Amino acid sequence: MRRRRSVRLNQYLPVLWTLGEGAQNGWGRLLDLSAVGARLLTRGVLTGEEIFLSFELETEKFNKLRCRVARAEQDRDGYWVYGLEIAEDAARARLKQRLMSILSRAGQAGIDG
Amino acid sequence: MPQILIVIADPYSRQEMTVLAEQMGYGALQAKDGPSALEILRETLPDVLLLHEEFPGAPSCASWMRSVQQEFPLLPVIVCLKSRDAGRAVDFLKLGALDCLAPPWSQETVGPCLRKAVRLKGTHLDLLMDERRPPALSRKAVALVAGALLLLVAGVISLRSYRWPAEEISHASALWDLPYSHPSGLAAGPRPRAEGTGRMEPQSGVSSSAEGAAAKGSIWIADWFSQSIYRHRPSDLKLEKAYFFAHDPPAALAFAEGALWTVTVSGFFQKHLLDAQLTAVSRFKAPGAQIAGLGYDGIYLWSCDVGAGVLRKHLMDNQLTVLSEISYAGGKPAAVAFDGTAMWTLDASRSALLKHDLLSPGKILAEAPLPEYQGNAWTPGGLLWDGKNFWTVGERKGKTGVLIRHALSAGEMR
Repeated sequence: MRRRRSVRLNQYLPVLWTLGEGAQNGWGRLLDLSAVGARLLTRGVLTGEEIFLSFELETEKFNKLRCRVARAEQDRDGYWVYGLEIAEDAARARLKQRLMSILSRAGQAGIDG
Repeated sequence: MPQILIVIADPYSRQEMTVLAEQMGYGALQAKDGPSALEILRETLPDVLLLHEEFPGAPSCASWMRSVQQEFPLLPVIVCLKSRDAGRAVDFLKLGALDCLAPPWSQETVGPCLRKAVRLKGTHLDLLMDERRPPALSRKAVALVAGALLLLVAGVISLRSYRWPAEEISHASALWDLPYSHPSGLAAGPRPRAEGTGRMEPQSGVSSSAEGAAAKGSIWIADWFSQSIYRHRPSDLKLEKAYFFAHDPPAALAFAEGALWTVTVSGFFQKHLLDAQLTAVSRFKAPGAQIAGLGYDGIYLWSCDVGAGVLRKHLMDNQLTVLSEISYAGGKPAAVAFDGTAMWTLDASRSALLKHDLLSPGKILAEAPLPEYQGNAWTPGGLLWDGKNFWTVGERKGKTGVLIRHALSAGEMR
């Protein structure tokens, strides 16, 4: 079984998303989150390729994290699930550090090479 | 029919939401304020709570929501915002609301929210269904399915007395002889979409639609002696499939977050994929002396250690990290289950069901004797709550195991 490349956090994090300054915004939950991407569950329909996420991970706030929409599909309830790729290197590094800290406390470890 | 409790002060808005909910096939209960809503919650326990942000008087909507969630921690809550405000919506999500609705309301906006909330009500918290939207059925297919269903209903009604033998042992309990002798674990779980595909349907909530009925869970039973897990069809409990485990058979099982978790006879936790073989993908030593039962409350996995006399609460991570350990206030905890508002344990020494405060499980709220297990004819092994009744499995010396659907319902214990 192929193991994931990045450690992932599986929590249903509330998230505010926006498509840009003054553009459409909405809310949803991050179904899972890694240093390279996330899955967003929302009822809103995203009309662009770029999305900005704002959420809190424990005490750390991530504001307007720029992401690229890689995939979209609708679930049976009528919600949309978007696969997102984080587009900022600095944010990825910060996220990786925070996730490692959380997961190491929970007993999970290791990023696969 | 799933029931939605609509708590909106403004009568016109309340009626508007009620009509919407009823048009979508839900039953709607109405309340104009907190106290009347609480009364309805305690009496009827609806499937979903929908409340408006504009809450009359004190406490505020957020405070009232929090107090309701303490009493009904697994009740999905949807908040109706007074205007579209994403920041406010996220605040409510952080407080525990499942989702928020902004005006104007319509079936397109409210429908997905209610569908997801109704599906989540109960013990399985999975925000995402893996399946894509299925293709629409042709009229001919719909007619064929409807015709088949009518015939099936007629057949069931006329052949009711020929169902797989059920012995009436009390005024409403029913008992089935199992084709194996040492059942020790019991859970409600998913069914395969079609035999041969090897894939399971995700567990879905109660639904009155034909699609929902088809997705309803099977009954899964672990039998340690035959080293197998058996899957029974929910309609007539006929045995559908057996999964054999050559090494270290399962003693207890629970479905959680899209996987099957078992604890083996030798004291190991195992996580299984929901494929045709229930492939084990991880295995590690379980804490404690003798884990007899597993149960999932929608967020955490619980185990009952009959050897140490404790209940353990586990984080749903790869190692099932123990978050807390609670001394069991009863006799011997043989199994654990959740009904959406409380924890229930099957006490093997008292031959009873014990109801526990979900927030303080060391506290027993009520006890219901199980006459079927009095006199030690059977040893109880597993427990499940199907939304209406409790089910248990038991071993009998020298005879086959039993599956019992009990007359007692959780409502009688409130």
